[in-house]
Amino acid sequence: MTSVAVSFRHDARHSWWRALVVLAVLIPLSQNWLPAQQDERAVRAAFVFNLTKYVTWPHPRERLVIGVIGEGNMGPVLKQILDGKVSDGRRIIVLMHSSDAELRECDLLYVAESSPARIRSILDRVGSRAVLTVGDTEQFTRTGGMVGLVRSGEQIEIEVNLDALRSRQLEMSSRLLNLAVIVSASGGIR
Amino acid sequence: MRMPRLNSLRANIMTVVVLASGLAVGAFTAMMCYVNMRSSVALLDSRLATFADVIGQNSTAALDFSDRKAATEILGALRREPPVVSACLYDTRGRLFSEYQRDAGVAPCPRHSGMAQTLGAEFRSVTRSVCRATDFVGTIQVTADLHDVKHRNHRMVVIALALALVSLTMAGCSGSLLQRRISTPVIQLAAAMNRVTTDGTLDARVNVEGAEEITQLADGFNRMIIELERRNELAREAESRLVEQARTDSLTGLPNRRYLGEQLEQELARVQRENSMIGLLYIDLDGFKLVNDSLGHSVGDLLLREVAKRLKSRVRLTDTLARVGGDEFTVILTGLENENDATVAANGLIQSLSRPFVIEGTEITVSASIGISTRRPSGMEDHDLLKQADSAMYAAKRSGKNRAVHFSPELGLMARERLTLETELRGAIGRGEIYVDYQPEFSISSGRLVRFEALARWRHPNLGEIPPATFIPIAEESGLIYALGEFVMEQACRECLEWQKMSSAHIQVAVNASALQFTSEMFVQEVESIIKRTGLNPELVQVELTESVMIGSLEHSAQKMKRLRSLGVTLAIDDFGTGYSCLGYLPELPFTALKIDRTFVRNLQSSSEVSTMIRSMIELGQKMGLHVIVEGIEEEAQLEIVAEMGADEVQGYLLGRPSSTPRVQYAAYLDGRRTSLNGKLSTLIGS
Repeated sequence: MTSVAVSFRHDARHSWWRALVVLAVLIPLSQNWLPAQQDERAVRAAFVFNLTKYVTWPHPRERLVIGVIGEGNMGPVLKQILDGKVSDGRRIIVLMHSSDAELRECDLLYVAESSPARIRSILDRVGSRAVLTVGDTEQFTRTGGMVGLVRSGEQIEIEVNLDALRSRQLEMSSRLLNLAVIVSASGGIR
Repeated sequence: MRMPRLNSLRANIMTVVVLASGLAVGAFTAMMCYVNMRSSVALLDSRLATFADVIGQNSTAALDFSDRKAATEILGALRREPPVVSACLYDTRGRLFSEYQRDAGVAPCPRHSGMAQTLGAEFRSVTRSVCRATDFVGTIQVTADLHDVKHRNHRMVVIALALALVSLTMAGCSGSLLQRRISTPVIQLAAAMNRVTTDGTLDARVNVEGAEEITQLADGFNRMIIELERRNELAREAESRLVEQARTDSLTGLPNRRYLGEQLEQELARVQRENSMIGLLYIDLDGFKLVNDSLGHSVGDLLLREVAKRLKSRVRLTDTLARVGGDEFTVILTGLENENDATVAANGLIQSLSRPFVIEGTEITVSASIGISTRRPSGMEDHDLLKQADSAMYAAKRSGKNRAVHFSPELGLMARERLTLETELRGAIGRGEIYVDYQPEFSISSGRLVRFEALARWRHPNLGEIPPATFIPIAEESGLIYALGEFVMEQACRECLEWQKMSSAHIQVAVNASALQFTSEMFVQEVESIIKRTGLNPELVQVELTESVMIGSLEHSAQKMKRLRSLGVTLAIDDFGTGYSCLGYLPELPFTALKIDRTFVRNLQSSSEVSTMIRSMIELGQKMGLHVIVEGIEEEAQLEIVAEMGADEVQGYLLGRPSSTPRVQYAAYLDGRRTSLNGKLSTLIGS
């Protein structure tokens, strides 16, 4: 940055143009250039947000509490993107690394785990309450999770375990169901 | 069937019917097409909106979760809607998310929703927002082409045009039917009118069946024709009556002067063709004026009718009798052998009138003077037959009336002369050209001068002495006779007064009164006033009347004479034996004297019959208590004979010529009775 400044000093005009050209090239590039990981996380966050709009909870409260559990840094991304947003009139609160106590408050639980055992234990902790569980691995729905946002090539596919949803009295819009891959807990695709 | 002309009723009706129905059908079709197009487009628009909404709704999840495949599938559902050519789904940022194309490249979706899509007029496009509940998740644009709509509209236009054709044909047929119902009777009517106007025949009748108005029109036309016919008939009758009237004399029913002229022309033309002789008689009644004046016009008219009847009964059927004036008649005589035939015919007519007429109980006697002119085609001169007959008739009048005179060229001259004389005579008394001559009359028994006869004279400054035989008839015909008679009588009375101063012998004055004068209602009064004015003893006045006073009503005349007699005036019949002597009436008239006409004395010595007649007349007169005066004594022998016959008084050149200075004559006579004339008388008396 100093050299640039110096060059500015040496030949203020030339340097100014050069800087402009550099910036013009850099700014559009920078978005594509961002790490794919982060981009995918943002998409997932948007998917989660959109998901809340296609799901009807049995006893909706004013707040919509999203809990994030598991490894990776989905938590901060969700917190950053969704916290404070409003979905269908409900203010979203994102809780990271939720404890069991907090888990009970959650309306939506994002499980960032890939190990089926861990997933199962987390789901067990949720119990039979009407909490929409969202995961990001193929195993998630087959393990008993409700919605899986699974990467498939360039796209993120939605997998839905209808039985899990219904057992918790959560309803999902048919429009979404049209897009989704319906999965049963037994592991088969319907 | 002829082609109707452009402005004919038929063409008009057809034009109106076809045009009206064509316009109506055309307007209906156009409106239907327009409305159909509009509603089809509106329907398409609303369908597109529905499609957009439904597809949009179904695409929200696909948008939310960036599922292009799902979106493409959803959009693909539009495949079942043929009009939809493309559907473009954009995400919240306006980027093309998914699209559907019916046919590639027809309506490609812009890459970005903000970019304008270039579409032709045959496309309809609807853009809707895609919302999930209230959240905006993208936009969708659905585009359809109007091909289908247009195709359907096209089909409808074709159907409508077919219908229009059918309805136009029907309109044409019904119009033709209507036209036939209206115009056929009208054409028939027009043809009938044409017949009336071109042929002039009024027997055209129209028998038309059709609408009520048309039959009314036809009825009206027929009535009009009948009325026209009726009026024509009236006009023809009136015309023939007028022609008849124009050619007929209304009083007698005879042809009038106009018809006579026509007839004469025809006859003259025929004469020329047939080389025969034509004659014309011009008849004038003698003394008709007297009848009219004394008995009134109505009696005069009746008399004319009777005269016409009598004349008519006397002419042949081939002859034409016409009344050409008041008491003037003419006869065209055809097929004459010679001039004598005409004279025979004229005398026959005169004879036919000799019997008295009885009009309203009054016996009336008239005679006629007839002028004859005849003509042969050979050597035709340019002279007027009618004028010649007229001149001849005047000649007949002048030569004593009640006779027929054949035209001779000298008469033509006289007729012209007469005309100038009449104008001259009008001022003659005022200019002092009229004077009176006196001729003495003597008593045979005493040889004394007993009377002077006053004779009217006219000395014209240029023409000299005009004989009374010329100017008296003119005076009579022109009415100047009244003034002339009065003038002469007054002059004579004054002169007579002078004679009384010369001697105590009571010399009378004899004044002639024409029949016309006598007929005047004022005559007796005039005589009386002249006598009173002059202070003359009425017994010294002798009024001399001709036999023609007996024409007309005898009763009237007798009364007038009696009144004259009661004044003291004596009355004499003048020119006895020449005129119309009707001796039977003589006893009823209070005459005191009788003057035998000079024509008798002229033939006294040559004809024993005349001598006998004179003797009889003298005898007759004296037996009736009248003085008999013999006129025209020019020779001593005559004097001796009439004296021997017993005449009372004589007059003539032998005894004294008419003189304008009777006093000188009288003085000489008184002076010594030595004049030769007196001497002759003295010797006669003496012997």
